[in-house]
Amino acid sequence: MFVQSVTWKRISNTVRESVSYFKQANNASTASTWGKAVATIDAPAALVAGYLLAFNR
Amino acid sequence: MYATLFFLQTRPLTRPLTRSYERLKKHADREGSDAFYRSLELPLSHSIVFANIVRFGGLASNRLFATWFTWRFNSDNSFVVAFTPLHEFPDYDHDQVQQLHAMIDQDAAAARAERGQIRGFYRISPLAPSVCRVTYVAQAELGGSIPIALVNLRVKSNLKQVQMLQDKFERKGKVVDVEMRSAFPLPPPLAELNEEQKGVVESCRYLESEEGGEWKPLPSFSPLVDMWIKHAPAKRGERSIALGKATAGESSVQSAYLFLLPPPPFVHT
Repeated sequence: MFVQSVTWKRISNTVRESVSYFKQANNASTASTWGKAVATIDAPAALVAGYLLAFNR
Repeated sequence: MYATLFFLQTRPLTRPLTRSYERLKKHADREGSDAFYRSLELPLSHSIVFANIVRFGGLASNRLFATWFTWRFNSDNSFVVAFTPLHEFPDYDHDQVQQLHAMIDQDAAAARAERGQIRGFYRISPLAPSVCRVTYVAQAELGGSIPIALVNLRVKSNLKQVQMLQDKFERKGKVVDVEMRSAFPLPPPLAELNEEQKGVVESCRYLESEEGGEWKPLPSFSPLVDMWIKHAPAKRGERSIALGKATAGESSVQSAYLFLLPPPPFVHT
C-alpha cells in the first residue's frame, strides 16, 4: 500500500500533546497498521538526521 | 546545520560514525538487558542493517525485526531517513547482511522468534536554520496471531520516538520563536507583483479609503474586541474581495474594564 492513499485520523487522547499523532483511518488489516507523528524540533535538520543515524547504531 | 551536513557528507565512509549507544540502552531498558540487538554499518553506503527482538510479555510470542536503515539528502534541504525490512535490501549476498543473518541464527531466542516487519521514514524539513519539522510515518506488520490492541499499543509507542526527539532538542520557546520569525520570508515589493496580485492590492486600498463604503459590524468572538467587514462590489467574472478589521476600541476598553472589574464586596446586613 502506498502512503499517499492512506487517510489519517488523529489518535484520541493525544490532541493536547506537542506532537501530533495520527493512525490509519481506513485500515482493513488487523496485523498491519500505519501510524504518523508530526512535530517541530528545536534543532537543525542535519543535526536531527545525524542523531537518528547515530541513535540507531 | 551546514557544519553537521558537511560532517555527514565528507566523513570517510569506511570509518563508522560515533555510536551513541542510546538506542541500545533504551532497548535494554525496555526489553531487558539480555534482549537481542545487533547493528552493522555498511561501508561506502548510507546504510545500516540491524536486528532486534521485541517482547510482548505473556500475551504473544517475541518478534524479531531485521531492518535496513538508510538516508538521503534532498534538493529542498530536507533529509529522508527511511527503513524497511532487511529482505528488501537489494544485495542479499552483501557481507554485512550475511553477517547479520549469521548473528540471528547463532542466537537461540532470535532464531526462534516470530518475524515482524517495520517500514517507514522520517522526513526532516528545515523551518529555520535551527528549527525543523519531523514527519515520521511507520507501518508495523507483527506477523502471526496477535491481539489488535497490542498492535495499536506498539504503533503508538513507536511513534513516541518523535516525542523523544522533541524532548532531546527542546530549547526556550522565546528563542525559537525569534528564530522562526526571522526565517519567515518578507513579502515581495509591489514592483515584483503580477497584474492579478496588483489588482488585489488596489482593491484593498480602495476598501481602506472612505470611498470604499461603510464598515459593517461582525459578531465578535470576544466582548473585548470589535470586528468589522467591508465588501467591494464584485464585477462579473472577477473575484469578490472583502476587508476585515478587528479593533480594541473605546467600547471594547469599557467592556474590558467591566469584565476585569472585581466583584463588589460582600456586605453583611
